[in-house]
Amino acid sequence: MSEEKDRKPILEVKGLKKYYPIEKGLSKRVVGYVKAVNDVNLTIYQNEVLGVVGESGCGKTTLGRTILRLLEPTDGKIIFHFGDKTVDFSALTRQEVRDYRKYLQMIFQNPYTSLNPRMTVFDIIAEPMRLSKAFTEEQITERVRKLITQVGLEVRHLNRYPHAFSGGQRQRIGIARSLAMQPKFVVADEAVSALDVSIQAQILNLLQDMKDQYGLTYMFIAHNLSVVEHISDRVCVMYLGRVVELAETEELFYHPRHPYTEVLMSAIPVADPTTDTKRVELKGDAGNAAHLPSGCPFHPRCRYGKEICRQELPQLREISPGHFTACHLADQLKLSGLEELKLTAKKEE
Amino acid sequence: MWKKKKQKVSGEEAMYMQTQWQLMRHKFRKHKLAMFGLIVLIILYLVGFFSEFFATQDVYKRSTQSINVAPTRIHWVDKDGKFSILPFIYGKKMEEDPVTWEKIYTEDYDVKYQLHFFYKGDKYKLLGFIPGDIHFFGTEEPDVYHPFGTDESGRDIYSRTMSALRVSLTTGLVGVFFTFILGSILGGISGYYGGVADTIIQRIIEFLMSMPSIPLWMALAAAFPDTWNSLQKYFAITIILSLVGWTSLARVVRGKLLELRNEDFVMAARVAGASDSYIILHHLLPSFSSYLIVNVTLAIPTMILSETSLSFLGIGLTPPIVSLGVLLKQAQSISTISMYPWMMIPGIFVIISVLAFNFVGDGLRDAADPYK
Amino acid sequence: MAQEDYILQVKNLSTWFKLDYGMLKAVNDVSFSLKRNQTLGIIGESGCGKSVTASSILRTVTTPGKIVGGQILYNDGKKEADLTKYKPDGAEIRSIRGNEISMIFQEPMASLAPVYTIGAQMMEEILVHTPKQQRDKKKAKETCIEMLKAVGMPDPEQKFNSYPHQLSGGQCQRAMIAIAMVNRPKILIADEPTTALDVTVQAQINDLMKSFQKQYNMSIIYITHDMGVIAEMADSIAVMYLGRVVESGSAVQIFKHPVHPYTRALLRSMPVLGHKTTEHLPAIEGNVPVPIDPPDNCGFCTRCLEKMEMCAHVVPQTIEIEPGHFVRCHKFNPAD
Repeated sequence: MSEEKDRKPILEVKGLKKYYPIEKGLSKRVVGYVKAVNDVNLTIYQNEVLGVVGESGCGKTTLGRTILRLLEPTDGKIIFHFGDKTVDFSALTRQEVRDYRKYLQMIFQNPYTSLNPRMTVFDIIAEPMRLSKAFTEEQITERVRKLITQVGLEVRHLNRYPHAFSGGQRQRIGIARSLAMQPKFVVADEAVSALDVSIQAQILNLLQDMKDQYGLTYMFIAHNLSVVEHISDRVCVMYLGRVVELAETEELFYHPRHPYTEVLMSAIPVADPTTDTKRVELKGDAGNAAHLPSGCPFHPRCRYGKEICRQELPQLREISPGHFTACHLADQLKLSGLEELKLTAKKEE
Repeated sequence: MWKKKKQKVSGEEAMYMQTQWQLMRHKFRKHKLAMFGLIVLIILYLVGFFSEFFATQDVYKRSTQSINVAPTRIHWVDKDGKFSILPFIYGKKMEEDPVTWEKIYTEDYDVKYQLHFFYKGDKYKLLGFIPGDIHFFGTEEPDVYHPFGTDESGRDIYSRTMSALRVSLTTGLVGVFFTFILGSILGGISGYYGGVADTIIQRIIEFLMSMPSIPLWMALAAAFPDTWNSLQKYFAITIILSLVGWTSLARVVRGKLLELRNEDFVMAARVAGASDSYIILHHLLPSFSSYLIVNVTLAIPTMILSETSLSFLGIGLTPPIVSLGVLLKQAQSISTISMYPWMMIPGIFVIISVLAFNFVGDGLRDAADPYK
Repeated sequence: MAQEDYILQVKNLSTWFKLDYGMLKAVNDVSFSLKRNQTLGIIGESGCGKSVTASSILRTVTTPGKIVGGQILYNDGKKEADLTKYKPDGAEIRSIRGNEISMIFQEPMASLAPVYTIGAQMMEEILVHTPKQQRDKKKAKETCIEMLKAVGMPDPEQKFNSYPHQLSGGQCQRAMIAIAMVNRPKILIADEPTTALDVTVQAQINDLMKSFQKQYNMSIIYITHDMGVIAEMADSIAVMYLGRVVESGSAVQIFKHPVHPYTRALLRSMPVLGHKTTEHLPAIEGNVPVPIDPPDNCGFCTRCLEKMEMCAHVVPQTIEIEPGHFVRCHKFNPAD
């Protein structure tokens, strides 16, 4: 897109859709669709961390899995740039997809279900390499030993089974597995949200180290905004299957241009009892991707909603360099960012 | 899966390196009732397998001298108050009731037979080919020692029960084997491929499950030609039992597959580029094999009960094969049960073996998922 | 000095679980106090014993768990009673549980009975705690609908007849709170009430609890692992680690002047909003141990950066280092 001439995109998502049909009755008549991912356009640059936030059911997990073709997209294009090679990932057959799997990886939320309890740590980490058939058993052994020490565990742990490890250690094993094939692009789906507070920091540090070491690009899906702010270069806010705002992290947190982002910012709890938060009211309950409202999907809950919001769907547009928003009123509204919302030191004793 | 170096490790480390099966075994051992059940089963199978050795006499030997004899009383102290470490029995006197002509047996205190281990008795062929004549416990004197009494033809019920155990307990195993094959293949297809195959298989299962099982058995059993020998009939019965019995196992397999397919670690294998067949072989099968074992174990007692009821009704195994159901068939009338209650003793073995299997199954079920 | 007005005082509480492979000391010599009409936050990581503390107060610890020592003094304004003296299923504790002390849980969907309507579950809560002669279903229903309105449930009359699966996660948690609040409890124990919820819903639920506290003069014990939430909600805070309270004091004392190495490390290790750096977070190394047959030491000594020789051998005592600010660490023990 505009000024990032020096930054090369690794992934371009164009008009991506993932619909689930709602079937009714014995004949399985399709009566509607759950539009989990609805016309998403995204570019992710090499070696950046794109944070994806939004409430549960907004489609962020589906987006991550559809990009990796773990779910089949309904429509749209997924284009990867691996070095000089450009691949239209959405056009490949399932067989061909497997040739490109080595570039793409995923880190899961739940470290207790993402490792097969019946395999040793060695076999878990070695699995991607064995599947690729590109390594000898000696090469695999050497690489697994290197990986396990890189993620902060020891070689003697390799013969153990996952049940011997705590959540944080299991997440380390999961990370080692995802790095085995030296991927280029990693989807981290709530990678730290199941972990204890004191372990989260360890894993965040590890993810950053691995990124620097392997030149990775992360798509970091999370609901904890403090964590997202810490790790992300840019942040993408989703609401009901659509991207509603996308900007550099600081820009987004301090100068949000979409009313939903403002609501999110005001809801973040701050770990400081002397801070007073100005709450921005949010009407109603989360929307339903099976019954989308007309016009802007956020308008029924938006406190700025106007007539145009009810009728016309706002498109994602670049409102200032690198800052995208999907709001009709973005030019007129004066929204509050962190600075205005978190009133610090009001009651310091 | 791949080669592992064996080395000396500390106790804690050993625990961390335990495989699924080791963990299961550990958990199973803690289940006291299951361990008890397992021991009982081992004894029953051993006795059944070497039934000729444990029997006191030949299974088919009849004696007109002892028709419907009650179980022989065993004594340690004789009428003079003398104690012996090994028990002994008294001989029997037969009288006929002058009115009913019923044979009445009383103990003859003048004849004493010492019971002891490993005596020489009737000749037999162990497992059909190893000749022998040593029996486990009893007395050399023929036709005096009947621990469970005799039936109306004067055959020793104890010896016949031992032999019946072999037939009945193995019918369970063989039947379950076919059930296992049918259930896991059809359930697997149903669960993994889904779609039309799933729908068809599910409808067949529902159809089979909605049929009353006894008429179905009867219909199938009626189809046997009379010319079949006992071995052929035996296999035919086990196949009938498994044809009806595979449905519930297929449902378990299907449900478990559907559940496992969405596990994160299966997703991780797909991310790593694994094919469907790799995922089935390396992730799904090992994950639910323990559940299969539990279900199979719990299906065996059903098989044993089915065989017993079929034979009891006279449509399953028939003499000369000796199975627990065949033995119980003799105890069909109320008058038999009231006059010769020992005819029911084979039924106690049905109950014991079914209970033991259920205890073991219970223990396995608790141990099946050691990661919970 | 005048006696502080405490509604609940937990003194040296120990709740242990006898497991096959050892004694799990989930709650080990825990003391804290809850002031009337205030919120006490209990913070700690998974397995630190914060939830067991809550179930000990309500006497809902099930076998193999057992309260092995300590007192739970509940003062309803008239008299003081030691809840540990009651039988776990006796009439005394049942008249308190759900009536004077109620509780809300982390998983609203799992804590509501799926086969009863929200209304039925609320009504039961009222009727169980009314003497038989005075039971009035009509009046109870009115109270329930009023309460559903108060928790901000849209369409309360209709939601009264809804089943839990017909509600969203946020609505379920509102319903949970309505059920817990329907008897106007004096103490509300909230065990991770918003962990499973989205950040926007979390803010709404927390605001709701705060407003109820003012309205009904209620005291709250708020259990969580989220530092941000606890800073917003709590007046005073108890930090738990491995079954013990390692530091307690007012919210400002804990957040602004933490002294225990664990509290300090925990606060340092969190990403703080508005302080974005590319630096590493100062993480606490190591893992949370499991308190099965724990040795007599400071539980944090395996991960502590300021560890001394004695930390591995002696259990530190709790010391008041400034009024209302307690810490359990050898660094502050004048006797050592």
